[in-house]
Amino acid sequence: MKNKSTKHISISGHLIWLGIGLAALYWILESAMDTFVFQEGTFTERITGASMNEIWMRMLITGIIIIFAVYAQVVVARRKKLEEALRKQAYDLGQRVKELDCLYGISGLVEKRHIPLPEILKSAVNLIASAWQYPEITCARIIVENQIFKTNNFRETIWKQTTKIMVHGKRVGTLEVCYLEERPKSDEGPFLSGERSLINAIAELLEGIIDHKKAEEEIKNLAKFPDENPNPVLRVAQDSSVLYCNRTGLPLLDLWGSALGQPLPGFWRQTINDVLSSSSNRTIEVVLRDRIFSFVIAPVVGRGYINLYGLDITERRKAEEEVARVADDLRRIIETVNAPIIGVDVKGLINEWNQKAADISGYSRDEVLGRNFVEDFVGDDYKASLEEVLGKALKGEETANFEFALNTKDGQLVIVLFNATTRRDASGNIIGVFGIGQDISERKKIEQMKSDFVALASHELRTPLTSIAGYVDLILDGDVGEISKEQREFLEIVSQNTQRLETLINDVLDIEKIESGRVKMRQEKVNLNKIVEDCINTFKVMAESKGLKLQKEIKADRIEVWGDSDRLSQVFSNLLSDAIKYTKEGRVKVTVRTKGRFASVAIEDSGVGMSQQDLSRIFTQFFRSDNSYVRKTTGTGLGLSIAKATIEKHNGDIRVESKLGVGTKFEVILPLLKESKKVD
Amino acid sequence: MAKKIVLAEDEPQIARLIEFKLKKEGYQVTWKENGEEALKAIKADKPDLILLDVMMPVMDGYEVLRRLKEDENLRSIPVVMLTARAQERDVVKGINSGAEDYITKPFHPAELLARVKRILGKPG
Repeated sequence: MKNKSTKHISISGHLIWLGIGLAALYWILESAMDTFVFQEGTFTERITGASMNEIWMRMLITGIIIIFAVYAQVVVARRKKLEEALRKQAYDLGQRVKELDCLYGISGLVEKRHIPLPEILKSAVNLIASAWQYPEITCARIIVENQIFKTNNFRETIWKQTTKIMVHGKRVGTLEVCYLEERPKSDEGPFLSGERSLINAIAELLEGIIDHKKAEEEIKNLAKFPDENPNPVLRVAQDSSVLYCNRTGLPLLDLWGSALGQPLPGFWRQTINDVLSSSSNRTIEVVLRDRIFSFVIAPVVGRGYINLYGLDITERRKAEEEVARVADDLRRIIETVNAPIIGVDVKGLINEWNQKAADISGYSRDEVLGRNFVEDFVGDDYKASLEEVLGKALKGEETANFEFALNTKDGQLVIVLFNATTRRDASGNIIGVFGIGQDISERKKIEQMKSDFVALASHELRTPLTSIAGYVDLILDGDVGEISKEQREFLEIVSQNTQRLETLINDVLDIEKIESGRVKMRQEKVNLNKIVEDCINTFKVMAESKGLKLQKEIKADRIEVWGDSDRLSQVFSNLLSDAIKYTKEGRVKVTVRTKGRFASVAIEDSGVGMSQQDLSRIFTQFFRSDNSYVRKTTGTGLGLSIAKATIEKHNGDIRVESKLGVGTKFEVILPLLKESKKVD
Repeated sequence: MAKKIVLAEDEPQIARLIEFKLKKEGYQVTWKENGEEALKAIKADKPDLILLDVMMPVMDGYEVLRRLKEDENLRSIPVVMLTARAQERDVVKGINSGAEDYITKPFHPAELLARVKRILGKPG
């Protein structure tokens, strides 16, 4: 361009010289004509005699001509310039038109509805090349979401322009324009700056198209919604005529005796008017045959119609009713059950207090709600332990059968046996503790009376027994003189029977104490091998005197358990003495071993054995077999009950196997020391 | 001089039995029917041994034992408790309170005598 303007300037330079030449020529011609054609005077006069006026005149004209020439020169130069600019503008305009054609073509594609996005992009890519400087060697490619759209001649080259396609700040694709061959570089590079803006403009258009199409597709999907909705959806005009009804809604219209374009039943009209005038949603329930529908009536503000969104809530309603019924039943059970039920929240404040709790305590529900249960209603001795139980329950750890004393309104203490259950809300969060109790004051009293009675009875029995046994012994010892053989024989019978009575009294006391839990087992390491061997040694003589073999088999060194060695000794003595007692011939065998986490002591005899019937009852108190051989032997019928109670206190078990006429095997199982906790 | 024993026992027949056996052996026995009487007798007689029944009216055996152990002059006299039964608690309580031994009822008179002898040696 610079070259061209320089050229203009030189042309206008020539014009100036031309003007000056013309002016000089005019001067000469004018003088000559004055001299030779229009002569009036002398030559000299003619040569020189032109009047001064004329000379001035000519000079003026010449000047004017020169000025004109200069002026013409300037005008021409400017026109040239304008022409040049115009030409350029025309060129640029041509470019712009090409660009505009391209852009317009692409944006026109958006208008085409129902044409899917890929089709549009396919068309768009072919519109691009024509807008470039060298359309014949330009190709383009659009990549959107992994789909490729390109011109037929597309080939990726090094003369390439690329731009991102972004939708809502997210990159969705790329637009590329390539020259298939090199073109001389202008000072703007292979592509003009206008072309760089153009590719961005096209990308922007494509972005718009993609966005628009996506929205269109979404709307199309959304438009399918009401029809695919499994719940009835209707649109109703102000006059209650049905404008739209989806498939699910059609049977309802039938039931209402309505149809598309027809009005809904009368009861709707008022509701529709109300909703339209209030411009806010309303929910109503409609029963149709055996189904219950909930309808949300939503006014479409400014349109004068309403949308009805129905929901079949029949099942939900049934479930709700069932839940309500169960809740009601539970509430009634809680109220009427013959057990105190007390609930506290996480702060320990009472939120449940049934009728029985009120009966026992003397405090009505209203009097206690919101008060601190432990602080206000629990006996001092029990506060700490109950706090602990409630604390555990609030961590989800439940406690069964703990006792506490409830303070009653009239200042008494009622002993309650309680089971604490963690209370949770629907999402499983712990919201408190629920306790079901049992008033065991009466039971406690009876238990006390029973043990008092047993203690008293045994004492009252023991005193005369002490006298009888003592005086008989005095006589038998010869302290009061010689006695005859028969006197001795009979007094010995008296003595044996006093001993039997004494054993019975001791056993009754024992079992009462063990069962009532008043006897505390000692806590010590017990070497089972040793106490069993001691027992065997004690009974050796008794066995040998009956001609029985007493065998022992100890299969591990130092088997240890937690417990009370005296009590355990007593159990093994009982079992061993029974085994020997009920065995006429053969052997009694004691085996000590470990079985996994347990110690096992088995006492096996080759004795009379027991019937199945007897087996099922041997651990019951005062059980005596009908077996005549067994009946002949002495016993209180409490030994096995005591043994069982004792072993159970040690967290163990007694098992028995027996076959009539073959023998009996008792097995005592106790947790091994390292595996077990202390017995209580 | 015969060794003196104070016997506190509320059952006359049992007391008579014990008294008979011990006297026959040669001991001097003073029998009292309750704890209070026994305590008076002990203070007066300063016996060599005391036989104390646990369950007695007015003052029970443990109470008598406690008071004996509080009294500097009587503290050293050995005491044998007569308990209803070898209840561990009773035995432990008795031994902890300073009893020398205990005998459970019913007992063989010969056994009682043997225990007394073990503590006192020969009666005279």
